[in-house]
Amino acid sequence: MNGDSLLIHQPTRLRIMAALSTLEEGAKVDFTFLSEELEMTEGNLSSHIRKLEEAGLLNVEKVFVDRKPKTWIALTVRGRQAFSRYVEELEKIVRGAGQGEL
Amino acid sequence: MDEKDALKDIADIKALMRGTATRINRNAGWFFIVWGIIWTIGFVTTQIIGNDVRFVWPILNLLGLGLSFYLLRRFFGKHGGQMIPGLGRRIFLIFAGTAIFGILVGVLFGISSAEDITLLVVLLSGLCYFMAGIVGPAKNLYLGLLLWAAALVGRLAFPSYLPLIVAIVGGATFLGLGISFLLRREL
Repeated sequence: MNGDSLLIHQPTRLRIMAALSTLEEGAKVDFTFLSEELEMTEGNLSSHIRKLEEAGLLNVEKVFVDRKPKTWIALTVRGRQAFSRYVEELEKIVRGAGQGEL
Repeated sequence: MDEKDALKDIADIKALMRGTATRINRNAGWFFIVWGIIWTIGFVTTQIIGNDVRFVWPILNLLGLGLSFYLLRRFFGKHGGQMIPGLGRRIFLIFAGTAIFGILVGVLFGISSAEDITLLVVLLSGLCYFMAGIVGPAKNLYLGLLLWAAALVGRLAFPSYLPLIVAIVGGATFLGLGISFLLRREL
């Protein structure tokens, strides 16, 4: 596994990446929606999102809507590729082709 | 990581992605419900009252647009799940522009018979969904094609019951899609 895959492999971050990968390209979700969707506290979600953002896998956009802060989360192109690669690696293991690589 | 763990991870990922996708799409169900009800009321009324329906459709269209605007604000504005920048506005403008275009065509070309009004509404609605499929979710393309096909088949095969046929085909499709989204199921 490379650095991105190792980062994604952590169960909570894997759930975040899986949920965000369902978005259409260029789409983003509300931070609150994501925390409800994943049933995670905002603090816990925030810390994992920061790590994924620092690695360049997520894009975080903070804006004000009607004077209230709102945070949009989206996968970057690199994040989408990294997640696809991670799933491919899992599938290789299942097929037996990747035995010994992890 | 062994094969068993990888298999479990893949199953978990797929389940999560499926669940998230259906919940994100869920809000779209309300748009289909609103237009399904308007569509059914409009065409059943057209079948019953005939030519006088020309006064009813502009009101129904404006009602649908008003409700759509409210839903757009409600679900994709402040509390939105998925948001593609500008997509909701583009789709709303396609529907609003086409509705105004339809009203203008109806008035300027003197379209007044129930049959012509039915064809105008169905063809323009099909165009709306077809264009929405180009700028947004591609499934809308098929909805546009279905409406055009319903207009063609209804007009050629059952001209006397054209409004009733499009009411059943379109209404069932819109309401079915809406209910399936709200029940978090994918067709």
